Amino acid sequence: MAENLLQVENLNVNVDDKEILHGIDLEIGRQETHVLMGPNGAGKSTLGNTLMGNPRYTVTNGRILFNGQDITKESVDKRAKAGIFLSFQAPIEVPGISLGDFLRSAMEQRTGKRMRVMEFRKAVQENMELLNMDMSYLERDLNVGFSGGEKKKAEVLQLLMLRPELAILDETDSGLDVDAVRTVSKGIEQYQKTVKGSLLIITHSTKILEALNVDLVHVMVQGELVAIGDDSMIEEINEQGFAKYEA
Amino acid sequence: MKEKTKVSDIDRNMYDFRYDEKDAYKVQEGLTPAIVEQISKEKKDPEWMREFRLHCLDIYNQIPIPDWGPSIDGLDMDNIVTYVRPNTKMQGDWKDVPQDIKDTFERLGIPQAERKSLAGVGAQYDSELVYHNVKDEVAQQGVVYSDIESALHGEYADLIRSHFMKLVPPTDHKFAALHGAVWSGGSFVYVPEGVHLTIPLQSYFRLNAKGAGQFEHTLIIVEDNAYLHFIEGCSAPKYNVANLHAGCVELYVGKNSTLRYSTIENWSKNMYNLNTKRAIVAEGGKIEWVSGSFGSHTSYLYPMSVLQGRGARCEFTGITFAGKGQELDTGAKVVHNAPDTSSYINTKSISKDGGVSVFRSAVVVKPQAKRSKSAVSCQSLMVDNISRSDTIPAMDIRTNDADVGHEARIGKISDEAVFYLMSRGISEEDARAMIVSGFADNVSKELPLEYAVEMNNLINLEMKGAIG
Amino acid sequence: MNDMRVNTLPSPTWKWLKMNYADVKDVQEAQACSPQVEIPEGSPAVVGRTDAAVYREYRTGVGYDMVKLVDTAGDLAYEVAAEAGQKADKPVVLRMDFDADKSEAIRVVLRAEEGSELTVIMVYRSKKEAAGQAAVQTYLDVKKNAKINLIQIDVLGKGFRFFNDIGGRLEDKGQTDMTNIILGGKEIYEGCSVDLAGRESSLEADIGYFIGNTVKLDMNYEAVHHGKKSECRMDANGVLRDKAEKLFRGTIDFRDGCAGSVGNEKEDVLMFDDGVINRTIPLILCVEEDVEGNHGATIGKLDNDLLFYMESRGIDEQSAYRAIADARLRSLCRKIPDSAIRCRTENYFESGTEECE
Repeated sequence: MAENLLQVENLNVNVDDKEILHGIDLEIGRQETHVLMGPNGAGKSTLGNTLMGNPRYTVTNGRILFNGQDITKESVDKRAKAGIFLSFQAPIEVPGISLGDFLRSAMEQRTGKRMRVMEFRKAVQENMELLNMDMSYLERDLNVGFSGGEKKKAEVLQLLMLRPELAILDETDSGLDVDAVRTVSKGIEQYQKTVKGSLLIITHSTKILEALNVDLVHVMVQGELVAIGDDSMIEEINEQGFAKYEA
Repeated sequence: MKEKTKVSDIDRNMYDFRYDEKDAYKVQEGLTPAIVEQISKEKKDPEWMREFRLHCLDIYNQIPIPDWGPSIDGLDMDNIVTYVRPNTKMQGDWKDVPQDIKDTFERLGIPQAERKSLAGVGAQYDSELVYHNVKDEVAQQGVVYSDIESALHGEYADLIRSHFMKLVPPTDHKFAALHGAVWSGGSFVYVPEGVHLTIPLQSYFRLNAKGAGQFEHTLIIVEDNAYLHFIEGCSAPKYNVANLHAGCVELYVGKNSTLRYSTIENWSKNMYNLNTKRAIVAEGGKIEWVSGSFGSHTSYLYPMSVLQGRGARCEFTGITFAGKGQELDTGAKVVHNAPDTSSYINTKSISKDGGVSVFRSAVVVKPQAKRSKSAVSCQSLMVDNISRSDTIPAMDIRTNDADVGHEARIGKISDEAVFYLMSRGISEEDARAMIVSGFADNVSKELPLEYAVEMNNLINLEMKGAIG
Repeated sequence: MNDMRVNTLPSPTWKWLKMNYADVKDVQEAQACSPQVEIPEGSPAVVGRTDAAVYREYRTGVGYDMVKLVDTAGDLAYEVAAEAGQKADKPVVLRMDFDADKSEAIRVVLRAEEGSELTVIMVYRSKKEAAGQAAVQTYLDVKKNAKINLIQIDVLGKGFRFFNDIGGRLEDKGQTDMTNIILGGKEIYEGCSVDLAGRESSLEADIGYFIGNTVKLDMNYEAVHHGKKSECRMDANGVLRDKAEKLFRGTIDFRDGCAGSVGNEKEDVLMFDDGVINRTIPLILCVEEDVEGNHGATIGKLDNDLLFYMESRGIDEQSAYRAIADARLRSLCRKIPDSAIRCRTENYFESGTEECE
């Protein structure tokens, strides 16, 4: 039997010498969609960042297997090339680098092949249309002066273009109006359909999940995963909050 | 778990080649009245120029070396050869240029650039111009682009005499005086009233001789309602003894005219670059400086703009990249001498591998410069903790009817930005190089495409090395 | 004494700008001056005399010639101290009344031992029209986890030459919050150098000047970051009128080992009249990678939108300027923790007298 896409074993994580995650175990199979919920400050983003290898977060115990390979000590770019993607809550602004140039160079890194400008524009056009993004965004500096909604769309665009096997979406719906949520959610559906990868959606709201097929829901409280269940948990948490888990 | 990027020294193969100075005529090292007389004789100066040179030498001997800025102790004038004439007359046809010199410029891409996108080209090799050419249609518009020496004897002789070192007097500082005494080569450009040159003119300066100095003089007069873009490129092979560049650039910008002056300076790292550039701008005119400083061991470079007429403007865009062993003291000076003038200075500097970069500026707003505006912005990037970056901006404002703003920022490459780029599969060294290129974007945007590409290559070469 | 060279810029620049230092001619040797000291009831602050020998190695803003000048007065320094753990947060007031036509000098040591807090107000006064020479040199010695709040107010007479110098050193988590209000005098030299020696030490400095006539104000402020994660904020705001001249040197110096430090410097100068001269040179010197330094300056007239708004409400240009100047002074005076002194300072600014009902 093929191994899981992602296997997290007994993971402890520190930030600035303080332990944030205490013994996390998590398995995500191929083409599965998982949701990670929990109150503010539970450590959800810490887990996302740790899976991506953010050097601010130190793994003190346990390991992360991706496609059966131990990537616990792997550098961030190697993880990305291996097929992990993290969308950021607040994507950083990088002046001087256009979204188009950036995306093309990231795609070249992922595939290991040079890409011509026209070939790239053709590939990107369809996805930009899906996300209601004008092609002129490609000329703008990466995330500079983008509104919250534009930044999130640019993240989803990268998701669709880079075609990762595992996409970790960190609060992709926060701070968005209804239309933007619908657009972003359409992008994620497109990812499920065309890329057929796995998803780990980190959120404390549920709007974005309405149109998606969710396989499993995890609840995190104070750095531990305290509950697991099917998509019925989403509605329950929607109505009753996390009180039940915070005891 | 966080690893630092180790960055190796720049690969200068592209610039670092040299040819023997075969049959070249040289004066002795050092600086004496006899040597100055000899240069003057060699160059067949008119009498006033011979006197001017000797006068400059006197001034040079009186002025002390600056007591601010980077050390120039490694520069010993007694060992600098002030005049090296290549063994050729100036040519107007590329095929007549001697093979070794031709090879040099071919490797630097000069004739290719001329064919593609330039209105005229001058190429200086050591102390003299070896090639000069202007496209016919440009010459027909009355544009003059020649070496200064022929202009001194031709129909523009009086014009040269009334402008030569009037904007930068030899008393300005020690190396301006030195320049006046031993100057050789350089360009004279005259753009008549109403002429808009849509494609640029270019001069390329190459210092090939070991232990020599290059002292070219660039004099540009743009008459009213005209436009010119002038590009200057500089390079030299590396030697283990000091070379000196003390050029002088004087720019006269007429009413409602615009002069854009772009420089990519990539001298080798044994070069002392003590260069003086100055522009005076008449009513409604504009000077645009674009300046990239990458090479040299030590640089003092602060293009100055004198906004003399009402509504005159200055824009300065600069980048300085100081790597191992380099002390690059660069910046800009602006004097607002008339009402409604404006200046906009935007600079970036990068310090790496023990390099020192200093941004130094002066903005002076005189009492008569009512309704003037000035904005200075300088940003510095520290790539590691063995380098140094200083910001020394001065402002002297003497009217209340002016709007002056200044901002300076210093910091490092953001770890968050590196992580973000790496999370999209870009390696750490590529990520850091991308961020630095992005940081330098203000300048590359202002350059003609080939130069922007060359500049990005320089940054990539500087930034990339083995991750250790 | 004769001549003094003061307020030397830490890294010199072009000579023709005449900003590298100030040369002061014909400086008079000084006599000792004794301040009037007011200690609030129940305050644990201790006032005494000291030879201040240990502080002679401190770098100060005005510089070594100032040490020599104050030495000519030959007297012991006045020391105000808070012993370990003591909270002397109610202000100790040092009132210095300088006599007309004399040259007087005084040295002050403010010492806050570990975990203590000390608040001191220093007021420099003379008769309104008086001329003379006054020199005050203050050392700040801030130990671990200690804090000194220092408020200096210059309401000297119109003919005074005044040297006001500070040198300070902060240990780990030491803090200094400094407010300097400059209203009086004719020829004023202000210098301040603070060594952020300790980890997480912090300096906050608010400098406000309101000068007119032919007053010359020459300043040299520097924050030297040695300690890791040390922080400084320097705000210099002022109003220049008539033919006043001002030069502000402000330096943030990030030294080797000060990783994680942040320095912010801001300057806002309102030029009231056309005859004023406003000169500024804000330096950032840096040999450390992991630091953040910022400087911003706005110089010139009132913002056009603001002026238009005020004029649209019937306030003419002169009154608008006056109102803005008043507002700036009042916001600075809010930092004076003594209502009587605050009131007198505001009145001195408005009417030139310190009368308060």
